[in-house]
Amino acid sequence: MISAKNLTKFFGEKCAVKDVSFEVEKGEILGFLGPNAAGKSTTMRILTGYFPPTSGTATVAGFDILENSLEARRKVGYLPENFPLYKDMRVSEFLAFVASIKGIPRSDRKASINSALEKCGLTHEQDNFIGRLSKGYCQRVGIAQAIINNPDVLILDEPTVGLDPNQIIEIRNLIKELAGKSTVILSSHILPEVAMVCQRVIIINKGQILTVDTPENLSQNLQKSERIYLEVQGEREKIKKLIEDTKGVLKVSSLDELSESIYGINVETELDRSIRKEMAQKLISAECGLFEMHAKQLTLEEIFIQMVDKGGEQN
Amino acid sequence: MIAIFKKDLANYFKSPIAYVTTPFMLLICGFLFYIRVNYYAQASMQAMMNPMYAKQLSINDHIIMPLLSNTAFLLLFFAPLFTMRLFSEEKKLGTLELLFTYPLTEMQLITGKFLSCAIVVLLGPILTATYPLVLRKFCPNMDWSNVITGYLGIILMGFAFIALGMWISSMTDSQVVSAFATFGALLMFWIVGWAASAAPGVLGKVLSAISVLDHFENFTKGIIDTNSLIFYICFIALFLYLTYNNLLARKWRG
Repeated sequence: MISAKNLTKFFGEKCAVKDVSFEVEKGEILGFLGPNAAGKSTTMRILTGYFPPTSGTATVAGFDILENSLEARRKVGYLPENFPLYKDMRVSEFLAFVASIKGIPRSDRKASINSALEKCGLTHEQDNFIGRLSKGYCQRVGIAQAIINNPDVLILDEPTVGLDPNQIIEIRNLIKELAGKSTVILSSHILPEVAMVCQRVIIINKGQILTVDTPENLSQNLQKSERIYLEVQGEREKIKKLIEDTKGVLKVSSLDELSESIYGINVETELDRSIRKEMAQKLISAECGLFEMHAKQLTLEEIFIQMVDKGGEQN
Repeated sequence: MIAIFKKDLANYFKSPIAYVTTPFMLLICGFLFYIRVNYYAQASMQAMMNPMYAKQLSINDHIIMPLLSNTAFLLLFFAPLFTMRLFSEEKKLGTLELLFTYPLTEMQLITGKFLSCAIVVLLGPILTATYPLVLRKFCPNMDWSNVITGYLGIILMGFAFIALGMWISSMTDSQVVSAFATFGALLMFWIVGWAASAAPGVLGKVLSAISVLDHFENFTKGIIDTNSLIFYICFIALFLYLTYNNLLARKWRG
């Protein structure tokens, strides 16, 4: 549905995006993840035809963004970052304007507007001025204008930025609903959000793609060690020694007293070794109380920091 | 294109500016028109005693031409107030990014904006055409060719002002800067005509050739001079092209 080949964009001397290539299948939700100024918005703007790449090209829904820019733009719904607003237009009036500019036939306009209003939960706000809406509702207007012509591709730049947690969940559900019909690309610098919504994640930093993978694979492949978390009752030094003596333990990375003589312990162990059974037996036979024990996965946050650091070292 | 045209036109009538400037224009033109008519009536009285004097009296020279030049002069002040927002506002709001990602060519965008602006800018001047219509009741045999070519001149000049204003508006995201720069530029094109009469030789001719005022005066005399017609068309085309270029600039600039 979307295929980008060697996209490079320079702003003067500064390189914003460098040799970015990726493919997105029909119906997929792809997440762009990266710190601020990583090149997420620039890549998205290139795909939406806002400006052309310095070199490289891309096709959207089968149309080249340079040669068939108008057709490609017809297939794309775009929500820019910090969605810009015509403050003195009413919601329905704005959507009518967008419907007409996107070339929806006059007879279908009313229906498309109503369906977009309904999908975004804006029906009861349709006669309000956009300038008077709250941030969350403005964002919905932004999504409504993007989906009004049922585009094949949706490009959403930081769709949940500045929203409260409830609104974030609503918008996230809305995006998931849309995914069946359209291909979605969304960007974010918030990791759990991408992990929750997207089937694949592209991690991008300093204009270059660091990795492309599913959120699950990302957290598995990058682990150099396994982590175990324990809560144990007993004497501090005794517990520490018992754990450290277990075969396969690399180090005790933290040991905190949670309440009197109960300790929360993080342990790093060698990869592919299940030592939990052994460790549990050891602790229990030493008459320590084992309250809790579970393996921990690296959070995307940690992976992300690792990836970005690695990228930095290579440069 | 029609969508942009409708949106901008609706936008103009939402802000108070159209309701303030148009009545002012009618009021000022009306007042000056009244003074002229009054003066003409007195002169006509005198002319009854003095047949020689009567030969010099012409409705065109005394009433129509002043009306047209007053209207044109007011257009100089009011046009920047309308053109200032064309692109500056969209740039400031960031909505220009949205428009560029819609399936819309730059030319459609420019045409839509130009036409919507033309309607509001020319609304006042066109309404002043009712003044000569009133006059017709008292002077049934007056010459209408001046009025018609005069208003053609006003329309062309209005288009030229809008094209220039649109170009300046596409360069800045501040409406105030846009309005003042447009006003300054228009005034320059206006007063070079005055300088032209003082400047010697070729320089004078060049200055006169680029003066919007000198070309306009041809129209008020009831002449459609191809020179002037081509001047206005080139002027409009040039600034529309420069606007188009500015919009494309985003493609090779950051």
